[in-house]
This record gives sequence, C-alpha cells and structure tokens, in this order.
Amino acid sequence: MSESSAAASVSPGYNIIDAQGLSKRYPGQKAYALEDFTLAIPQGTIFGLIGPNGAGKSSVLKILATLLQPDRGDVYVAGVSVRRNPHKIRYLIGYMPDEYGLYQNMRVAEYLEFFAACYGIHGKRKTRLIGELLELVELDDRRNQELGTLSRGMKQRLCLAHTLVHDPKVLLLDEPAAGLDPPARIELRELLRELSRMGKTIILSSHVLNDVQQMCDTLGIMAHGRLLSYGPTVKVVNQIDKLPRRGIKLRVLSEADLHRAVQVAENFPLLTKRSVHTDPESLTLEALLEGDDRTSAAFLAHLTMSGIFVAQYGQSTARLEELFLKG
Amino acid sequence: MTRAYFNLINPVALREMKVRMRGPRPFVLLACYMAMLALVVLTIYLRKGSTSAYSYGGNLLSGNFGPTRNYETGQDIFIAVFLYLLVTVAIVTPALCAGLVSREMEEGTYDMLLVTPVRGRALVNGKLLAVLGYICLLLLAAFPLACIVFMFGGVSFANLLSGYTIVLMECLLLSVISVFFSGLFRRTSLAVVATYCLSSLLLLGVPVLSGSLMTTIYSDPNRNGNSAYQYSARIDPAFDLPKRMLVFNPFAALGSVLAPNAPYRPGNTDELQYFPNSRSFWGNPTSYYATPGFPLNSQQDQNYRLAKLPILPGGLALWQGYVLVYTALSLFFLLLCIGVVKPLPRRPGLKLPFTPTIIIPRFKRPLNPVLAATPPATVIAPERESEPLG
Repeated sequence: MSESSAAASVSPGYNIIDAQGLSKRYPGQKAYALEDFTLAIPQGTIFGLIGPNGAGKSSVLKILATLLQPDRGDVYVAGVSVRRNPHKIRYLIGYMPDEYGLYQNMRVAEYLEFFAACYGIHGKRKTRLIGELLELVELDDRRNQELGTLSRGMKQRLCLAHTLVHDPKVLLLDEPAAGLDPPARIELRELLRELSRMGKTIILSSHVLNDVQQMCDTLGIMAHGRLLSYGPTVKVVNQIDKLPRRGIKLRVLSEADLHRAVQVAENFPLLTKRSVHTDPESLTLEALLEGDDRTSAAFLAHLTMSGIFVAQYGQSTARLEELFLKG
Repeated sequence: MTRAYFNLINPVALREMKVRMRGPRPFVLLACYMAMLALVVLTIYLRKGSTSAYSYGGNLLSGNFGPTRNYETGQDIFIAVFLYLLVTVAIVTPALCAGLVSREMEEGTYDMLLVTPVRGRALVNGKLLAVLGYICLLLLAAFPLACIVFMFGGVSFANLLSGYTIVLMECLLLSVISVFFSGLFRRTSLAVVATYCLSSLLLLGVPVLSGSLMTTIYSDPNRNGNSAYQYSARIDPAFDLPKRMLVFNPFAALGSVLAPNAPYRPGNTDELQYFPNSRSFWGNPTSYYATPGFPLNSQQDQNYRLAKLPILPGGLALWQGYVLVYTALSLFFLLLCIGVVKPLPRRPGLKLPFTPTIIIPRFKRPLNPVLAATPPATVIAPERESEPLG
C-alpha cells in the first residue's frame, strides 16, 4: 500500500490536503529539503508536523501556501492543484509564517481591514467580519491600539485573526507556539480547538513535541525532508515511548556537578556515543540512552549515587528525529 | 460614497498612504521643504540685477543694480525653482522607495502579503502610487511659489507645465528603479546605494560623459579636412550624437525648456543678438538662453555650435526627447519590477522547447548515510475515527 493510500485510510473523511511525491531542493544545496513527501489530511483535523530545524516542515507549509514551487510532485487543497492554480489556492488557505512581522505603525483594526481589502472584502461585510474576528481572538477592546505596543501573545492572536479574514478552509501555522509563555499557549490551544469546531483544517508545525501534542488530533514526524511517522497523536506518542532509546535532559545545581555529571554519563554503559550535550549557562545536560524507561531511571540513580544533586530530570523531546533515525 | 471610492483604490496603496501621512513627521518635512524653496526664490529675487547685462555691478540689496528687465528675474526664478525640485526629487525618491519591498522582507510581512490574492502588478502599482502621491504633494505645494514667475514674465504657462513634466518623469523613473532594486537585492541599504549610483549617473555622469566625448571629437585634427573647426551637424550627423546623450539628463532637459535652440552661454566678448525671451546670465551654469549672431566660421561661431543643444529626430526639443526616453525607461523597469517583486510560479504548461537535463546533467543524489538508515514512514491506523468535530 502506498503512503498516500495508507494515509488516506486513517480517516474515511474527505482528504482536504493531498500531497503526492513532493520533492524540493533549494538552489545551491546538495541535500533535498523535501524528498518524495506524501501526505493526506482529512478535513477538520488539527494536524501537527513535528521535526527538528531543517527537517522540511516550513518547506511543506510554504509549498501549500504557494510561496514555493516543488521540483516534483503536486499538492491538492480541496481538489485544487497548488502548481496549476496558485491564485485559487490563496482563497482556500490562511498562512502564518514562523517569523511573521506586523506593520508596527498600524492599528489593530486597520491591520485586519488591510488584509480584508486584499481579499476584496469591503463595506458592511468587512466591518462585521473584523468585529467577529477581534472578538474571537479576544482583542476587541484593543482595536485602536498600535501594533507595536501589543504583547507577543496578542500579536500571535492578531496574526492568527488575519489568516481568517477570508474564511479559509485550511490554516497553515508555522511554529505558532514558538516564544509563547504557558498561559499564551493555553489560549492558543483553546483558540485552535474553537477553530477546529468551526470546521477549519489546521496544519501546524513545531520542533518540540510537547508544544503540539495537546493541540493536535494527528501528528506527523519529519526529518531530512521525509515523513517518518504519521498517525493519531496518542498512537505516535506511544510509538515514541516504545522506542528502544530515550533522550534525557537534566539540570544540576553547580558547574562542578555538571562536569561530574558528564563524566558519569560518559562512563554509563548504555549511553549513545557522542550524544552528550551540555549548556553551562543553564547547567543542563542532554544525552541519549539505549534502553527504555528503566534505563532512564537507572541513569538517574547512578547520578544520585555518585553524589550529584539533580535539580530537574526529564525526557528530552527536542531530538525526536534521533530517536527515529537511529532507533 | 467616500467608502465606495476608497474600496476602488488598491489596498496596498491605501495602506501605504495612510501610514505615510500618520503623525507630524510628513508635515514637518513638508514645512521645511517649503521654507527652503521660499528661501531660494527670495535669494534669486534679491540678486535681481546683479547678473543683468545692464547691471552696474550691484544688486537689489546694494541699491545699485541699474536698469533690469523683469523677465530676466522670472526666468531665473523658474530655473531655480525647478532645479530645486529636480534635486529634491533625486534625493527624496530613492530614500522613500528603496525600502518599499525590501523592508517588507526584512520585517517579515512580505510572505503574508504574497499569499493574498493581490497580484504582483497591483503590489508594485500600489506601492508606487502611494510614494508618487506623496512626492506629487511636495511638487504641488511648490506650485504657488513657482507661479511667482508670472509676476515677472519671461516664462509661459506651457514652460511651467514642461518643467513639471520633467520633474515628474524624473520622479517616476527613479521610483520605479528604486522599487526594482528593492525587490532585486532584498536589502534596503543596498537598494538605496544602487539607486543613488544610478541617479548620479543620469544626473551628473551623463553630462560629463557627453562633454568629454564632444571634446574628444572636436580635438581630432583629422575631422573634416584636418580642421577641428570645419564641421556641421548637417553634413556630419555623427557629430551630434554625444550631445544627444543629454536626453538622459533632466538638467539639460530643463535648460532646453526656455531656449530650445540657443543653449549657448556666451563669453564676455561675444556679440550677442538678443531676443525678447532670451538673455545672457553670467556665472549661471544652467543658463543657455542666448542666441548670438556671429560671422560664419569665426571662433565664436564654433563655440556657439559646440554648446548648442542637439538636433533630435522629428524636430523635437531636448526636453521632449527626455520625456519620451524616461517614459520608455520607466515602463521597462516597471515590467522588471513586477517580475522581481512577486514572481509567479512557473506554469507547468509553459515548458522550454528543450529539456534542461540535456544541458545540465543530473547526477544521482549522493546517499546520505543517516538517511540510508531511515525507515519508511510508519503510518499508524487508528482504532476508531478521530473525535467528532464541533
């Protein structure tokens, strides 16, 4: 069974996104940013694309947003080809880039009015729409505030509102949770849930599993331009848990403890070679262990018995692709 | 009604105009610009008489300026006002336009604009419209001061319109070039530098190049029977070519408005034949407006011919040729801008008549040792359908 048909079989619903064999190589680069990437996403789901930096997540979203042309393959959004009809696609998608900017000298309502005008929405319809959107993202009391004075979370919500002005079927959000504090993340999660209930299909990307596993119905894990795993969030997370490899992250109390922890880790028999990374500023150590949760617990015990005071200990999800590639 | 009118305007232009006119800054700039222009006009007026052919060497301030003619002052003010506008436009336009596209890229707003249905053409037009609107405001604000020339005479309303056309064409070309560089380099600083370089070439480089070419040609003793002075544009049209380069130069075009056929700046000993709307203006490098009457083949006659403005095809004056050339250049760069600012994805139907693989051999991608170990995508089938929505 091909990947496409397998992915399609995840849900019997209508696949609003159907990417077939996408390949993309940037000029001057030897490696492919995307290679034979195939994916189908049913309508109404919140889909999370997880992977490290450079995995190809942003390239997928940019191709869907008509900002990039794939070298090979095609994507269909609601049956419309991104290659053949980029202009039509722009009415179907709302895109929020990872490094979005706002026109600092505009006001909140003006900003939305501008994008509404870009989509040909004028008059009473525009006024009503902007009122509704500001209410949805809880910025209705700040409609005359200048964008430069908004907090990061508010800017994120406003940017999300701008992607909704033309009532798109699909939302493409590149790293929407990046740089947000926990309350803002909770707000974002609630907002995405609300949008999903409204029937929108949401595709978001992140390089941290924890950021998105509570937001998404379905997850796809990417590395080196390929889709490594795809399925319902719970299943994918379970699959990660079953992998015979653990990424651990710990924080110690002093720099001396950090040096000793490195020595202990390097002498630990189940440590993956050359996988220890330290950050002297935050006094943290990250490493990969060959084994399951018991190995991870044994490593903690080993550290404690060596007289190292461990302030925090947990699993590292940042190097998710390493778990998949070498597991 | 107003709302309906604004709906017709390009949204990009409307946004740019709104933002550009926000706050006190544009009005303060406008006030400074007007004050400077007023000072220029006042200075020219106070120097009335100092350069007149009838002057006793004094001027209006010294009270010893002798009999002068009003049209001289009118023509001086005309030239001064439009020189001021030309220089202002050359400085202000690149500063305003060079960041129009690149700043969007630098601030991260460009991608969001590109995914809207606003097409490349509308994007460029909107941005240009907004900037040209602001510069037109500056030019129109100068109109009452420019109209002072009618109090003195020597300049017709058609001359004034020609002057405005020259300034507007300079503004249009420089703004289009700025936007083109802005989209091409994607860095504001680089776009500003490139535009200033190109505008310097047009404003200063062209007269220097034209002058040096003419000097080279005239100093060639082998021309026309071993005599550097035996030439005629009529029998040797190639001779006029270096001068024709001046169609790229707005200053030369401005000089040709008042005296299209007599651009000669006479020397002290020249015998001048005055006409009611022509004059000599000692020391003013922009004045070409005298028509001398010389004996044929005299040194003075040769000097006159050297300095005379070129003969353009169709009997066009230099400034008319300038307007045509700048229109063509503006259209050319406008097309380039649209391509650079929002390149449309290549349509699959439009293929080259040959396959690039024939020219560029495609090598098999080297096998990445990490990727080689990559397992195929694991698709996990759910036990039940995803949660019902809504």
